[in-house]
Amino acid sequence: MTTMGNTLLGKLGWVALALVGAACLGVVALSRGEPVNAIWLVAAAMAILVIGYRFYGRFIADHALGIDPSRATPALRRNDGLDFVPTNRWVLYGHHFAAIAGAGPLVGPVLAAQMGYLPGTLWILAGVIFAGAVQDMIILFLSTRRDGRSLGDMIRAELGNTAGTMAMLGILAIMIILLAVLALVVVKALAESPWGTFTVAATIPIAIFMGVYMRWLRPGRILEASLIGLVLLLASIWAGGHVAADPEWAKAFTFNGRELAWLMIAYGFVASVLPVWFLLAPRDYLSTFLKIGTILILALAIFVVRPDLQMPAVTRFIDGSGPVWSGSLFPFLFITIACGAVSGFHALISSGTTPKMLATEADIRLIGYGGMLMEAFVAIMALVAATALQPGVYFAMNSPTAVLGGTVESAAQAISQWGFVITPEVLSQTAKEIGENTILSRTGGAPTLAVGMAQILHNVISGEGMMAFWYHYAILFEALFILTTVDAGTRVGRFMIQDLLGTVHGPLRHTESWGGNLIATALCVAGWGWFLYQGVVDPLGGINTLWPLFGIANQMLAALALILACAVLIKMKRDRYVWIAALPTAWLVLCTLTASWQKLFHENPKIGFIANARRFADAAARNEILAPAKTVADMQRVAFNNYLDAALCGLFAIVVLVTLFFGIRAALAARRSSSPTALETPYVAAASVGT
Amino acid sequence: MNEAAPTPAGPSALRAALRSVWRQLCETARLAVGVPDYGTYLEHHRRNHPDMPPLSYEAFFADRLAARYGRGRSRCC
Repeated sequence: MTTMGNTLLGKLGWVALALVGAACLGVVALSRGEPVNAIWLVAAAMAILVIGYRFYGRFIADHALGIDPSRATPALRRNDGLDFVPTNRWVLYGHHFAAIAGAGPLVGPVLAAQMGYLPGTLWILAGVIFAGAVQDMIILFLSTRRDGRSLGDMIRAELGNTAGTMAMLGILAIMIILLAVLALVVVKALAESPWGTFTVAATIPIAIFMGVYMRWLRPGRILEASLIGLVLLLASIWAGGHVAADPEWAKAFTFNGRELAWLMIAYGFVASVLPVWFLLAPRDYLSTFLKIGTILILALAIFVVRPDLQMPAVTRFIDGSGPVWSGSLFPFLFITIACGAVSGFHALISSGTTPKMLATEADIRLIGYGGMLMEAFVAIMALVAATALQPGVYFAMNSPTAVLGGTVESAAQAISQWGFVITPEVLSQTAKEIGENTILSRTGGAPTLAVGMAQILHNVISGEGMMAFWYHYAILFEALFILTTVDAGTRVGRFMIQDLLGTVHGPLRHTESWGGNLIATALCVAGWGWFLYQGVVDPLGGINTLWPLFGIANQMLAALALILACAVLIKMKRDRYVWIAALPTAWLVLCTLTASWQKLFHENPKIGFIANARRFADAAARNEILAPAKTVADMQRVAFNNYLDAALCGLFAIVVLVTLFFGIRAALAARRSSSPTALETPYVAAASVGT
Repeated sequence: MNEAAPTPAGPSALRAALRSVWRQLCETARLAVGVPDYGTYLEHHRRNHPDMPPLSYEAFFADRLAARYGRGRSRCC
C-alpha cells in the first residue's frame, strides 16, 4: 500500500478509483424518479473512504502529527504482558473496532432517513473523513504519546483543572443520556412484542450459564462458551415464535412500555451490582461476537441482494416538519447522525486500552483513522437497510401514534397524504410476515432496521417463516448489545459517581465497599431511569425528545476532544496544521450550540423544550388536559421534564463554551512560548527497548 | 514468528497458512473481549521475571476479567 501510491501505476490506480467513486456518487446524487440500486451508494462510499484513508489520513499522520515509528510506544516501554502489550496491528484493529462499534451508527442513520438517503450519506462520508476519523486518530496519537492516559486526564493536564472537571461532568452527563436513550430504543422495540421480549429475556439465563461454564466447568474457555451461547440464542429465537403463537405464554411475555422501563431499570441495577463474571462479562462476549458477525453478514447480504433504495434521495421533510424527529436539516441532521460520522464517545475508547497496545506509532493511522472509517461503513449499511424499505412502511414504523391514529387504515391515509402512497393491506401484511401484531409507531430505529435487515437477509436465506426469524434475530442482535452497554455503562457511571462522591466523603470512593457501590449504582440507575421513564410517557414519543439530546451530548464530547487536539497541535508548535482539527471543531461547536439554542428557545413546542413546557404548564393552569396526559398532575410532570431537558441542554452548551475558553487560553499561552509546551512523555528509541 | 524459515510448497504450506490465520482470528476474538494472548504473556514473563512462577491460564483469565470491568472502562454507544 505504502509504495504503491508512489509508482506511476499506483497513481493511475488511485485516479481510476477516484473516478469510479465519483461516477457512483453521481448516479446516487443525480438520479431522480426511479429507485437507485444500493450498490451504487455502497461502492461510492467505499471508494471515498479508501481515498480518504490513503490521502487525508496519511497527510495528517505523516505531516500534521509527525508520527514517528522510531519512537517507542507505551506498549514497548512498559510491556507487562497484561495491560501494555505490543499487538499485531490487525488484531488490535479488531479490538478497537469492537470497542467503538455500538448501537449509535445503526440507529442514527435510520432516524435520519426521513430526509431521504442523500443528506445522511453525504454527512456520514464528509463527517467521517474530516471530523470523526480525524478526532479518533488524533486522540489515539495524543494518548499514545502520554502513556495511554484518558481523555479527561489529558484535558486536565493540557488545558487546566477547571476544564478537566468540566469534561468529567460532561462525560457523566452524556453517559446518563446515552444509557437512557439506548434503553428506550430497547423498550420501544420490545413493547407489546412477546416474541422479542422472550428471546431477549432468554439471554439472561443463557449468559448466566456461560458465566458459570467459564468460571467452574471450563475456566476461561471463551470461544467454547460463546459458541454454546450462540446456539442457545438461535434456539431461543425459534422458541420465541412458539411463545408468541401460544395465547397463555404470549400473555406472560407481553409488556407495555412502562412495565418494560421498570424491568430495564431493575435489570440495570442488578446486573451492574452482581459479580461481573456471572452475567455482565458473558453477555458482553456474546454481544461482541454477535455484533461483529452480524455486521459481516449484513455487508455480505447487501452485496448479494443489491436492493433498490425505495426512499427518495431527498424528501420534503428537510424543512423540519418530519414525523420521526423535528427540526430542520441544519443543525439537526448533524445531531441525529452522531456516531457514524463523528462520535465523542470514541475519544474515550481511543484514550482507553488501544493506545496501550500499539506496537508502533506507524499503526495509529490504520487503527485510529481506519477503525472509524469502518464504523462509517456500518452507518451506510444501516442507511441502506432503512431506505430499501418502502417509504410508507418506514413512516408507519417511525411516526408517533398521535400522527398515525391507531389503525392501519388511518395510518395508511395519513402517510399517503404526505406523498408516500401505501395501502392498509401492505401494513398489516408486513406485520404478519415479521410475526408481530403491528408495525405502527414502532419508533426508536431498531425495529425499522430489523425489518430492513430481515427483507435483505430473507432474499439470501428464504423460506416459510424465515422473515419472522430474521426480524427477531435482528431485534435480538440490537437488544443484546444495547443491554450490554446498559449494564457495563451503569458500572462505569457508578465509578464516576463514586469518584465525585469521594470528594465529599472519602470512604464512598472505595469501589470494594458495598455502601459506596450500592449508593452510586442507585444514583446512576436513577439518573438514566428517570430519563427513560420520561421518554416512555413522553407525548412526542420519547425518541423525538431524547435522541437529539443524546446527539448534542455526543457531539459536545467530540467538540471537547477536538478542542484539546487543536490546543495540543499549537503547543507542539505545529500551528500550520491546526486547521485540520480546527475545521471540525468549528463545525461541531456551531452544530451543538445552534441545536442547543433551538432545543431551548425555538417557539415550536415540537422543537423547543421551554415552549413545550409552557404549553403544558399553561394548559394545566387552565385545567385543560393535553394528550397523552390524563390528569393535571401528569401535565405538570411533562412540563417539569421539559424544563429538566432544557437545563441539561443548557449545561451541554456551557461545557462546550467553557472548554473552548480554556482551549483558546492554552493555545494563546503556547503561542507566546518559543518552544513546544505539549506534555509528552520523553522520547525513547524503539530500537533501544527490548521486547 | 519464523517468517525467515524456507516455506515448503504444497498442501502442508497451505495448511500452515490456514492455521496461522485461524490462530490470529482467535487472538483477535479474545482481545475483542479484553483477553490478550496468553502465550505472549508467558513469553514476556519467562524473559523478564524468570524467578517467579507465571499466572496459570485460569488466573490470567480472571485477572483480565477484573481489569476489563474493574474500573471506569468506557464502552461505546
